[in-house]
Amino acid sequence: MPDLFTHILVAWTVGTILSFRWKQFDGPNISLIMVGSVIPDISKIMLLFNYFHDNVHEIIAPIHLPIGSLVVAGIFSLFFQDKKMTLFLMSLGIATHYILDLMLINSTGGIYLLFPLSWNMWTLNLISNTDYNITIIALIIALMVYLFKNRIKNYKEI
Amino acid sequence: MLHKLYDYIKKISKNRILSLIILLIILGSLFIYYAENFPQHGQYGEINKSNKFVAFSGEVTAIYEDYFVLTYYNQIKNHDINVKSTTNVSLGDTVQIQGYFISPNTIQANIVVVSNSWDKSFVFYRSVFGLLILLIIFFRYWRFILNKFLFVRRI
Repeated sequence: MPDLFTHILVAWTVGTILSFRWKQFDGPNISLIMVGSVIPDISKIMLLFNYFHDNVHEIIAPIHLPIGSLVVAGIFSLFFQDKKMTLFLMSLGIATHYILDLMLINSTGGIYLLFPLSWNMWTLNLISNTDYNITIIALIIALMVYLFKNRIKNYKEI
Repeated sequence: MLHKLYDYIKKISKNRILSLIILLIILGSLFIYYAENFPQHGQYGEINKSNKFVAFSGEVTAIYEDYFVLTYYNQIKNHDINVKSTTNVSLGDTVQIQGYFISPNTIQANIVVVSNSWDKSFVFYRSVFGLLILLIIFFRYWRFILNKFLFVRRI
């Protein structure tokens, strides 16, 4: 995985770009896209804090597959009033996560994107999972989008 | 305390509870299906078959002149595999390899992808920073109403 910071940045950027066209993508909803972007890595977050041993990680690994992430997003959405919208926004965040993860160099094969229908693995083998250049690029793009957003806001106020 | 919790649960609609149970069952089924089938399809599936192509990742635990020892977790215990490769590695590095067995415990590596321990630590710190930012932003926009068991918008 690229680091969570990169996933969150990309999710924020996507949400903010969408907000230029659709006003439903306001602050709270963009934050839900950001939450969605970290759902696939929930199992790894637990690992980071050594809650589980690696073999438990193997069991809960389907959370880091699209179908498992969507089910977890479905569970989370039950704790919000507008469940369908929440599920949609979190799904968008999940999609940004897998697009980034697909770019990773993965000599072990890649992601089981179509699990449980297929065990085929997918990867584009473009960047190393510890490469911080992707974080820098995501940060620069997010900064540009932030400045553009502020410019539009100032323009509207005038 | 338990009585209070029971009161809260009573207020949650039956549909939500039913949906939660169904989703948990689906998630549990995915876990079981994955755990049962992963050994046949996953990275460790063919690891003990001689001359078979293998791809897996692990941690470097020893380095010798023309090979290094890679330790990986499989099911409930650690396994050590000797990897023949000229790639420079250090103790504690995480290494992904593709290769084939040339003896029962030695792999000739074709592709070696190394992530050193500093890189891993840096990913960890960036991730923790990202999580903190996410928590701050999320709770800036949402608050949890305990008696409804729901997150509602602050604005």
